[in-house]
Amino acid sequence: MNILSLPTVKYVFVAAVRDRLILSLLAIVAVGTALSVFLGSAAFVEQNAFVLVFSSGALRILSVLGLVLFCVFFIRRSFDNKDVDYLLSRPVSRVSFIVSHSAALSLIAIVVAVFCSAAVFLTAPQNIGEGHFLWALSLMFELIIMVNAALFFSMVLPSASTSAMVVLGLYVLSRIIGILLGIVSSGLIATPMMKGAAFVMKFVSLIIPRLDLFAQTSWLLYGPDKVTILFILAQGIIFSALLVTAALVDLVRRQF
Amino acid sequence: MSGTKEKYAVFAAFWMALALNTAVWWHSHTMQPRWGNVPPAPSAESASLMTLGDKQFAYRSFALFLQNLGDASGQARALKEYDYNHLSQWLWLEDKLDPVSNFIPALAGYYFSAAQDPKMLDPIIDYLEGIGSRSGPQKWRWLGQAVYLARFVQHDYDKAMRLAEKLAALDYPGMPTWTDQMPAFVSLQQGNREAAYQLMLNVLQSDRMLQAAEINSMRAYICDRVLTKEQKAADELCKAPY
Repeated sequence: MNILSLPTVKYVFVAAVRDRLILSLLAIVAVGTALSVFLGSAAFVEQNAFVLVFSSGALRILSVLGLVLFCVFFIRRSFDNKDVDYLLSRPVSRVSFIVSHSAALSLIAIVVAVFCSAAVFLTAPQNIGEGHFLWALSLMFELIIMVNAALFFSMVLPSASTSAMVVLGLYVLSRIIGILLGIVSSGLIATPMMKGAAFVMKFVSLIIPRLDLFAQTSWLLYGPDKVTILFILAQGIIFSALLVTAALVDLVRRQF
Repeated sequence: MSGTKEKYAVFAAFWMALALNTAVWWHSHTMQPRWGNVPPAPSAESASLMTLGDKQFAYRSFALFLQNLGDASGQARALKEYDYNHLSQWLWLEDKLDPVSNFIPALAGYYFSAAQDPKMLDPIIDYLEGIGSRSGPQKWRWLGQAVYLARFVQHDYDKAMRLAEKLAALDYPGMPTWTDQMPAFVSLQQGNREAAYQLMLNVLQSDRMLQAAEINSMRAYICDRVLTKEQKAADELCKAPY
């Protein structure tokens, strides 16, 4: 069984180009970088550090927003226009459909990550080091995780706006999960109700990626800390696999 | 309702909405944001949450906020109007978010230290003392700035002496000789010539590798500023040219 359909991958790419996704994201990267340079230059010392941190932090969020919105609305529109029904009527299995969409969206995420990283590197080219490459790699995997999350939720939920909100909620939670787990294990939880909430939080964290450990702007200034490439690869691949298989489970059970 | 009447009704509704909007604007356009003074600082966790867990982004965002504090929406406030206790909370919060950067110490040492009332500088000096006592590249400079503020701005020589002794006791690579001489400078300011003389002599006799120019300038300081004319004439140190 061929689980990757290249025509389907191409179909998603064409849709991304037709929706002006690449152009829009390029414009966002340009505007985000320009604004960061403007804001960072207002600092009275360490201007380069400000520009680097503002551009990397802003582009990280903007690229996630752009990709998630594209994925969610593209998938929901495919359902509404019966494109999904049409594609599945072709010699494309349900497994191939999901895997091909995941591969195509992940490739788009990689392209966007490359654009963002290039823009960040260009803002302060004099200090490029190991931290920059780790930041770029982790941004790439963060975007891959988020497009696969968008794919999963837009396959499962019937509304585009609900899917977008859920995916962005997941993103916020995964960016702050480290702080929440820190509070849970701080020993400050005293009441039974809070202990219950702490238990729920710990349980929920099982299915939340640790994006708080990804793409830290401090790496660009002071180099990488305890996070390793191995962890980023493992988290990115394993969580993406979880999302893709969950989307597969939903699709193979679905009656059209 | 006929098509023409409906069209007029729509136009009338639009112009009415526009007129009402103008009335609201007339009422609100003179309202300006009010200076609420320095707000209390959040905890480091809350600050980090505000930027989705990115501490460095939080540090830089709040740093720019502090730099432009009191100078927003066309209204500039004098530093004497700032709540320096709240400001101090922000400085320490920033230190928790990034203890390496020198942006906030520079802001505290060179900008917030310009408050018109020297009594307000206590929290700034305490902050600079805390930062300057740490190891780390060039961190000792902030302790030097704290000594300067205590000596020249607050004219609190006892505090300046305590800070200068703390600075002289630090031993990090690359610290210049004047950090060792600082207690002598403050002693002289206090009128204690004997102590200043002894402190300078200790630096001269220390195992510090001094350049010839440094030795000569220290001798010049001792002979021309610390000693009286009579003492200078009697002192062996001042006999050779410097």
